Amino acid sequence: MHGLIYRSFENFIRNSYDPAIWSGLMTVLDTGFDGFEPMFHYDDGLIGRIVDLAADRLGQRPEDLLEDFGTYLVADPSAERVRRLLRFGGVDYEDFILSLEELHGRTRLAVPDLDLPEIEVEDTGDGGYRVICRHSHEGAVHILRGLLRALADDYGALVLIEPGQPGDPPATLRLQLLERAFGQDRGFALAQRVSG
Amino acid sequence: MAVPNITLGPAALNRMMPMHALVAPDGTILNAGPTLAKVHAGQSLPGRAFSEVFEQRRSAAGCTVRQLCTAPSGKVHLRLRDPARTPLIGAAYCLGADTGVLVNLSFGIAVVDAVARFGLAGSDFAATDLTVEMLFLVEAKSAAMAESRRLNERLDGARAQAEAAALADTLTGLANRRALDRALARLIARGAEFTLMRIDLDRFKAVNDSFGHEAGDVVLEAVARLLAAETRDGDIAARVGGDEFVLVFAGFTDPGRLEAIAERLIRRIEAPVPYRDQSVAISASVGLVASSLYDVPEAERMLRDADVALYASKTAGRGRATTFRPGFDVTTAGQGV
Repeated sequence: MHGLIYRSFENFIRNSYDPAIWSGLMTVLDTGFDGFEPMFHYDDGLIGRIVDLAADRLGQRPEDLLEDFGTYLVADPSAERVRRLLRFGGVDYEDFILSLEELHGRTRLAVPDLDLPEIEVEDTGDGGYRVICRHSHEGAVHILRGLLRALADDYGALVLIEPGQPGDPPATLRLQLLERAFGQDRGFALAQRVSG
Repeated sequence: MAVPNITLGPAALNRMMPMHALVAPDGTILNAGPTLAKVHAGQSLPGRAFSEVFEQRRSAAGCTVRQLCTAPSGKVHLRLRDPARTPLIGAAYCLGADTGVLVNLSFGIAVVDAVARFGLAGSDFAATDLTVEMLFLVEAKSAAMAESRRLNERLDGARAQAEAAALADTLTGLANRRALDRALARLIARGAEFTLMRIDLDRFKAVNDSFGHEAGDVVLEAVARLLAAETRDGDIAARVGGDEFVLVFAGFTDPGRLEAIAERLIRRIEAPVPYRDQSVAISASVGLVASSLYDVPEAERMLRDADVALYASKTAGRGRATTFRPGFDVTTAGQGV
């Protein structure tokens, strides 16, 4: 799995909780290094162990921790770059939801070896969407849930996100857009550069 | 199947080509797309002359309808007459003598600057326009490059640190044997003159035996400080064995002057070193050799010859310096110089 994903999760734990928690995790995992290099590749199995261990240490369920991670990627100022790259997807929240299908391809254009989920979006009418998230790591859908919630806030939309219904494929989310302009849009200038 | 001729009104043109200008046969702008209007903020475009707002790049030709209509394959290179002289490219299509010309514009490769300058948003571009995708790529690639650069800087820092550690003697911080070999190879390769000075501590073993290794380390560190102080930038002070040191004086080959330096060093090394509530006294023997002695200096040979001179100092009673000279060998060394 790509180091960018590991490094983002590392930053999430360090910034949202405590750097000491992170060093504690790394000591237990005994990988031989203190942190992750964003441009390297790491063993696929490691991410599951890190997430489970972190959730255990923080007294949370792994899926809740992953959802918070998704929120962090959009809402935390230190991850501004991710928010911006996601907002290139659409001029409003609906446009953005539909652009999720392109996420995989868009990311590959920029970082060819970064393997993000393949997402399928289906408009079920009346502001409802069915979002199916396909990825080798089953935790990906929880990150997506946090990310979709945070982006709704970012666009100023009010949205209800629920698990898939009976008969839906695994890793499905049901999205109901309740109000397009519920709050303030945080704004997005196409050409604004993020430092670093 | 016959393709029908269709008529596109301003609403259709505005959606399909938000940066178009429809120009009448006399050169007056009849309609401008919403994004073009945004770019040309402040003044309404319809009613103005196209050639007042735009100029041709790469050509002395003006911007009359006739000139726009004669552009090969309809491609025109224009420039906005604004302070930034924003470059544009366009596709022109002549609509006939009575109607004028339709020009659809784009920022081309200057799009990144233009989007920033005019504060354009995704909704300012047609749905088929890849501008937003391109801006996404520019930003994502810049981020990836920045990450790569940071990684390279980290690796380079680690490399420099590892290299410095690999070239330093851990106890004294002086250069080690590897660093000495490298420095000598560099001096010889560029044909520089230099003098090599081998220093062996006298009575050091006795210090270790009677005061312990800790005292020995204190003495070695004190000597190292003296040697470092006696050398200039470009010289080398190295510890090459337990109580063996080598100094390299770049640019010096005058034996008289170097023997004086060696004598001074020996006297300073002989000054007692305080250790706990006692003081420890040692001395040093020195062997010198100058690169000017050889047609082609070789590091190994010079170190060996300096060792011969050092041995001569030892056999002559220690606490002194001897310079290696031609004809000098171990059998004569015992008699002193």
